[in-house]
Amino acid sequence: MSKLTKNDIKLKEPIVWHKGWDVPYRRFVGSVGAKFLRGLGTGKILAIRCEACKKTIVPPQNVCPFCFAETGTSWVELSGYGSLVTYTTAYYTARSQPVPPPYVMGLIKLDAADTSLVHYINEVDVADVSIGMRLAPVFQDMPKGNILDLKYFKPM
Amino acid sequence: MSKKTTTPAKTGKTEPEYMSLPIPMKLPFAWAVGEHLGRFYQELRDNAIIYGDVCPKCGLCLVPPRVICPRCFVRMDEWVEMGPRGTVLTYDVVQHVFWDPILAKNRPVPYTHAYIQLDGPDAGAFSHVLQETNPQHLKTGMRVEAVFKPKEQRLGEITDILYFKTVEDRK
Repeated sequence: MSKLTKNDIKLKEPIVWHKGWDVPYRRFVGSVGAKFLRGLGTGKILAIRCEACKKTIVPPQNVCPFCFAETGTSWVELSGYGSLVTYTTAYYTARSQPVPPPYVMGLIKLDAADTSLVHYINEVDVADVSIGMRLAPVFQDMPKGNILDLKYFKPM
Repeated sequence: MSKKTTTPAKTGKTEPEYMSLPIPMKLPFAWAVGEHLGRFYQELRDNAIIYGDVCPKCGLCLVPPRVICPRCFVRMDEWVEMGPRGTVLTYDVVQHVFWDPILAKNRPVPYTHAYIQLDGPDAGAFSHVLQETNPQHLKTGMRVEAVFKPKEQRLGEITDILYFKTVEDRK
């Protein structure tokens, strides 16, 4: 057995592995999430009303984010209209983005709701978006059973 | 479980319809193996030689080679040709089907994962798979030999070694 040094093994070119991880999974949304998503598919924004503190929560959750009680089974349908609480504009391109930039994401306080919903703001020039502007929902014609059945919000 | 799972009692409410969202996730990456491992994978690909490196201080030999000795923290700059035969230190026959994110499919089972001490200087364990998957034909201390892919199929990866086959051999 002969010992070599690294100079005895000439490196021809760098070796680079081009690989990837393919990680498919399913996320179960629970009974509350399922009811909300099915509502979106029929053009309705459903909210859950906490039976303990009477707050209206959208997107609905099993546990109230205000009082931590179980929210129960009291549902309300919202008008879908709301006001923009805050927003951000994305100019950066990344592979994981569902829509090409520039686009606006906003925190939307729907009328009669006590929480805000994060969603896209579209059909508006990026420069014309302002806090407090009134927004209306735009639904998908062909619902797929996910949050994008509510496509985006547009100015009223 | 003796207790029967029952659906909630009829309360007049409609049962919730559960649903799930398929979330496909693809994470491509490029990994440059570096100068040190580059020599190892190049020689695997071009000459079907398994190289290890030796610590000049403690004599530990590692396959695949590492730049720094994990015991003495000195540079491992002596290279030696290992194997292709070796001795099985331990093994495990995998029967359970599981998702392999690199293959993007379920790993074919059964397969035998083994730690092999390749012939050469005081060698550490080399992790690879054995051709033999019948537990009755496997035992620690058995002699095995590396089987390479045909040269035109070798890509400079650890899978350029297909598996280790059982050989009748006394060390």
